Amino acid sequence: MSINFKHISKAGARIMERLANPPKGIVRHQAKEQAKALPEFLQPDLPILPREQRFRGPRDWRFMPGDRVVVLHGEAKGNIARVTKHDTATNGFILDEFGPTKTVAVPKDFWTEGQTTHMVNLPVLLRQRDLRLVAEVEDPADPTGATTKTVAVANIVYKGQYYDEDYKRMMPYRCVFGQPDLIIPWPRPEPVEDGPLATDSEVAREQTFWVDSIARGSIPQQAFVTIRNPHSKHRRGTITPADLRKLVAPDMPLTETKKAYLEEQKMLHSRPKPVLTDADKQMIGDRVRQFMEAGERK
Amino acid sequence: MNLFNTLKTGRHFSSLSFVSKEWKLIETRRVAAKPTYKVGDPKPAHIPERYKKVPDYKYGDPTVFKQSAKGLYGGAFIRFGNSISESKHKTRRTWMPNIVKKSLWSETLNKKIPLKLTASVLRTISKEGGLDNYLIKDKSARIKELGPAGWKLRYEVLKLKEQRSKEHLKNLETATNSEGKEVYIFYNGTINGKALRITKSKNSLLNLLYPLEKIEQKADGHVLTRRLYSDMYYGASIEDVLSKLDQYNFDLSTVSV
Repeated sequence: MSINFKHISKAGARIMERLANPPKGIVRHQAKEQAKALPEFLQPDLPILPREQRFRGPRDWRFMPGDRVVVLHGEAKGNIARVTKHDTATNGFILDEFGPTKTVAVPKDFWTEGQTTHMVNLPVLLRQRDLRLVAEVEDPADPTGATTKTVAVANIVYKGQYYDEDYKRMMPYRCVFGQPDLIIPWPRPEPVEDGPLATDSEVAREQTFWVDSIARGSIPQQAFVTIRNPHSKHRRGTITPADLRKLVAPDMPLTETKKAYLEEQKMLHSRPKPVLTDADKQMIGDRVRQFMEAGERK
Repeated sequence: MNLFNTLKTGRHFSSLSFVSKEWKLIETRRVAAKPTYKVGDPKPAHIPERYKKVPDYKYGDPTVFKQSAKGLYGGAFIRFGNSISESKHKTRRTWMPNIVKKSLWSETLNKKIPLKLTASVLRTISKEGGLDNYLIKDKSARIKELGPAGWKLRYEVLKLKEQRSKEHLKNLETATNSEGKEVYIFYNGTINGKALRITKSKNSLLNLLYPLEKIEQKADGHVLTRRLYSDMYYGASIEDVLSKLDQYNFDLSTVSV
């Protein structure tokens, strides 16, 4: 049961619904107003995207930090740079010093250590369509296969997947479109130090429980109380005598007339049923015989 | 001529007024069937805040002309039609029942009850010989025309009548106590080897048990409220209450003859 009576009333639901799903125009307007309020050095180069449009994994991003890319548009067109970071809010890529940069004025409060001027060079966020992957492939001109050639990959396709030890997750094989046997490996990520509470991946992946029956649950019946939420809204409890008085109305007392009627009915039903005895049958037979004999005499 | 008189199917005259009774509006009301609830069943999604004080009315609340739920309207409703002018022009109009406000004396409740009622119901009440007689009549037409307000009054009257009739004491054995007064015997038997003839009802015994039970619970670190107490002894028999009293060293001879 909800505390705001949503289970009973829909009052105000329209406003809450509007807040949850604002119209597109309102969203655009709000983004614009928000951008106006930010100083230039904090303004993002790309629009902030709604959560459902943001990239979720390597399949969406295509280029991971460490990948070499060539810039296709803008002032840094033709430069080969390395991806240093993803900007998850805008689906943008931040490149190293070979990528495009902008010079903005930063107030003194935001200065970093060693900064001597207000003007700072910041990397410009780039969209995925502004970039193309750069890879080293075997030079087809060299039959020995010893030399490699730097190429820009027009398009990427994914084929199958494998567990990547460094990323600690399943990763798709990144192939060149039209040449599925040519796999471009993912860049090696920065190694992450395990925290003091981390469990070794070998230990975590070791199987310690085997299902012995699909008909019977492995959790004992008594243990359910401990694993289920004691404050669940579905756990309503049972009807108490006090609840019963709220749910069940009292009975209307019977009137004197009704009582007398019921009494009479009871009496009528309890009367002994007359039974046809042999003597009665004999008497009836005698009467019929007398009647028939009288008829014959006439 | 006589034959013609008996067979003729002309207009018949009657003093009965059918004019504004709309039985259809009462009989066709849909009242949801109530599930049967028991103590210990899973709680339903919604439980009303207050206790139900009046029996459920078979015909429910009026769906049209809702003011009739608050008075004795005798099954009369607002009616709609046209007033037709000499040139046959029709103008919509309504006919309201002839509603009067009146305080009527209830013999059983021993008080005046302020009521909104139709003039025809007022006439019926005087023919029946009083408000109580009007309310407690058993005919199905009367039940239909009572409405929710009448049904509530009927319950109050009948409940008080039943309490005063002492019907529940009718089959009880009687005895004379030490003061020479005649008393009812509510329980005749033995509790923990003691032969008892108890002169107090179960509810009176529960009232005697309450302070003892409260002390007992307090010793265990629990706070006993009247509500918890009544839930605790829900459905307990008089033997259960007596044995509990005896367990708490209550002198049962004070309630026995």
